[in-house]
Amino acid sequence: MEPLKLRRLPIKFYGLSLIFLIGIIVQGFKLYTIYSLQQAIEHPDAIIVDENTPSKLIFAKAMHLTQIGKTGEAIRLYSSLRNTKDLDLRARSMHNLANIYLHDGAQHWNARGVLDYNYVTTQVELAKQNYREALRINPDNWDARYNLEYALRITPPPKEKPKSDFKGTKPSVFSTLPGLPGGGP
Amino acid sequence: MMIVNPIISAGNRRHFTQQVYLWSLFALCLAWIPAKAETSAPIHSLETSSPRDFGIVMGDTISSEIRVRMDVGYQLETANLPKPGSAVSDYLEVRELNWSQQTQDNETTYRINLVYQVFKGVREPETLNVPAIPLRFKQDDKLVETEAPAWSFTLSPIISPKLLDEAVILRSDLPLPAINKSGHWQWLGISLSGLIGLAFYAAWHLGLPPFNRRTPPFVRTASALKKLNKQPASLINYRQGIKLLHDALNETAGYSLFAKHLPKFLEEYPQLHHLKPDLEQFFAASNQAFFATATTEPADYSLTRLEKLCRELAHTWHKKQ
Repeated sequence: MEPLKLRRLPIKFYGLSLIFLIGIIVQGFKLYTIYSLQQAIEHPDAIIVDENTPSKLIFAKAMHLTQIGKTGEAIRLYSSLRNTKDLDLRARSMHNLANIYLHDGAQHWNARGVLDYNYVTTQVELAKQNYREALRINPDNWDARYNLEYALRITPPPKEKPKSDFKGTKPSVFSTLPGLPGGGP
Repeated sequence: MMIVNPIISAGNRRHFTQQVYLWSLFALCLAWIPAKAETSAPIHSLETSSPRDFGIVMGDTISSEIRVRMDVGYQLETANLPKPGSAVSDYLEVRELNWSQQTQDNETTYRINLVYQVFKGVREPETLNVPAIPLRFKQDDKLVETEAPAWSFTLSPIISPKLLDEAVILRSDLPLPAINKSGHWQWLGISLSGLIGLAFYAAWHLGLPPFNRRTPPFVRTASALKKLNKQPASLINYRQGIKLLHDALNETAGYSLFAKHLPKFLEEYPQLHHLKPDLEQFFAASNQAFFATATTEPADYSLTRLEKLCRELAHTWHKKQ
């Protein structure tokens, strides 16, 4: 007996089937990746950061480190996100980085005032730079605006330059130059 | 600096006053010459406007538009304009710069749009200046230089001026942005629906379950033959009709049914036995249509007759079911 020859389906059918099949595979893979990422974010202490770690996991790890007080390592991780292509994540990283600097600077300013002038100035300056960067990317970040205004408020006034005791005029400068030592040629 | 001696005489004073008037007139003439040169210059007017100059706070973006109307032919030297990302003062950065040119009635209008961002913290409202922007226009070797005037705006504080520095509570860290899955779910749903839809289409097209029970092959084919019969008679249509009936017979038999298989087929389906002569004629007509050189449908076996046979097959099949 000869086999039944089925009626042919139009070529469009196969094309569309392929498109839909690819769509299912791609979207399914993306959803799987997202759920894996969310699982990892829920346990930031288990995240091991290396050069292949996704930006969002680095961010989650940095947040966790800030919460447990390891700000030095958090600064390093947030700074590594300075060039990430995800602009929203970059802006958030710069904001949180600035917060670390500003909290530190503000604590020193409120505790010791001008006694810690250099340290406070450095920390506040770094905070301002990072808030500015965050606001350049997202001007609608009102938290960054607020904190930056505060950073500018507590920026210590510049130290006055020590006054020079020299009161001479230009010609007198030459008059103070030492002459040839006695006995010279 | 001119100092008037209070002890000069009245005559001298009159003479002195006259001299002052003369010098003033001369000075006015000198001042008038460049002013006149400006009005006859290729620039007809220059305006700067801003949507608002108040209620601005730290981080806000403020835009301004510079409109220059001038003679046709002058080109704006864009290299001279402030670049996006550059700072124009301690507290102002240029975020965006774009310009357009429109020529109408022997006059070119340049519109230069600048968006600034303010980075200054104030404890109470303060008036700040947006600096003047130098503009250069060139036509061949002629160069026209001017500047968009400076303007000012009021910057207000975000933090209450009454709040002490020690009492300010900093805004907390920003969380990780929410990962949007809805888009992926949507696309997955669309792809799945599409594939399921295609599967149904294939089942319907091939007469597979659930469509095969509802529409027997002969009924489907009878309907298709009716549509085909409405079209102008041609050999192509006739061959198509024959092919459709062959498909229906194949589908019913479960294998490719040729004339030689007819006795076996009728054994399997005895209810169709009374149609044996018609089926034999159909196979003969099919053989003639596909293998003989004919240009039109044969008069003794038309598409109408094909449809009639198909309907009889469908009817008998239906009765059996």
